[in-house]
Amino acid sequence: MTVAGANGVPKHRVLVVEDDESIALGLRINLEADGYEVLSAEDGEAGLAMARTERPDVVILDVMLPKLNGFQVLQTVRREGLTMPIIVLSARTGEADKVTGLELGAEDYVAKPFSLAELLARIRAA
Amino acid sequence: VPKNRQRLGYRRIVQLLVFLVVIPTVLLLLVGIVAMFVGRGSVFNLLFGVLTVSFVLVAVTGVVLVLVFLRREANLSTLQADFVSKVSHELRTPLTSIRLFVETMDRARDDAATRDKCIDALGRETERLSLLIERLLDWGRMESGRKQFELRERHVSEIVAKAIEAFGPVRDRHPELDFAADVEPNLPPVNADLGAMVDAVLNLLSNALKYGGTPPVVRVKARRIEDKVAIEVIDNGEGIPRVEHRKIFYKFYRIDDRLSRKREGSGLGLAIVKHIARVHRGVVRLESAPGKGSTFRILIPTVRVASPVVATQEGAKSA
Repeated sequence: MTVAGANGVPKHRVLVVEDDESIALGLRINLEADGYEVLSAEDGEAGLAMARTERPDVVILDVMLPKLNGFQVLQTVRREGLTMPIIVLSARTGEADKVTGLELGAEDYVAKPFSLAELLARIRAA
Repeated sequence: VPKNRQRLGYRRIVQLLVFLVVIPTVLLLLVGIVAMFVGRGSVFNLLFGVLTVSFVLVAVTGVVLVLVFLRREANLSTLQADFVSKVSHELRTPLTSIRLFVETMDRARDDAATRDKCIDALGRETERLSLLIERLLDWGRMESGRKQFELRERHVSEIVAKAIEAFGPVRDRHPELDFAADVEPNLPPVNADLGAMVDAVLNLLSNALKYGGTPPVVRVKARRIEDKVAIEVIDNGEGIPRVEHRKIFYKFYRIDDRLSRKREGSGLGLAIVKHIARVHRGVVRLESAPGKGSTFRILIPTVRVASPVVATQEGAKSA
């Protein structure tokens, strides 16, 4: 994935749906440093609304979220035919959760605590 | 998956009980009744019948008790399983941040502003992690009875003042919070372990803020109710439905659904408050209805005679 911005090429936009302020901040710092445009949402409903209206290039989605949980967001997004890659980022690390996430149409499932380098590589690959 | 297995175990035991106990007892009951009425006039038959029927009653009581305890046990292990997954999530979240910010610092070697942000965040997250671990250890000590409470004559105003002081840093972080205290003057003293009581009130205060309305309004009041002193913490949150009133004091119980994490927490706060109240020969009461906010009230008896007592876990349970 090429990243640009200053020279007129549209930047890749990443939507981060994460209710934990610190993690959201950390992701924002790093993604912006790598030249992405970062959108963020603190709960499932806001995340879903942004996925619909903003059409980000990649979504990073937490599972345990207020209002709508990550799996519900994932399901709704896919049912509505939105096909952007979604990376689930969750502290729920059980096999069953991973299977659920991937079956609902996630591109990838990254367990917390995650390695930053790995996550960034997965975003580039998505 | 483990939940289903548990349920299965519970159902199996119920089935066994029905086949092995209930059916023979019903037959025995019939025999007893027949014996009572068939041998008309025979004292022996009547006695046999009465004995059989009372045996059946005892058996029925036993079965009912076993079912009640089983049900409780099954609920508790479900709660415990949920608790483990909740706690591991709560531990992982700050840990995730810590790892994230360490890696961010590593990447942003030349960027002083980002590094400062990272240092701030690292401080905050380690604090959060140690608080949670402290809470878990505290609970562990209470549960195993190793925590000693030192009950001394204390003034309620002192308890409330200390709790408000400890609540200070939290208030600083939430400037939108409308907070006030109202302590009745000349309250009689209570026998209390200062640290534990302060902790209980502080627990209620942070809950009130966590589950309060927007903007949150929290009041702490202390007043006399007959021969007891009430310390009340009142919030303007969405209120707690009647059916949850008992359950929220169970350890590990949380109102939130498992996946939609509304607020962080261990599910131990109120269980700890209840435990502390019991050690003080007191109770915790909840007044709340949806849309009306909540009032948590710790009621502890007042003292006339001053005598320092060391209460252990056993003392609390037999109280």
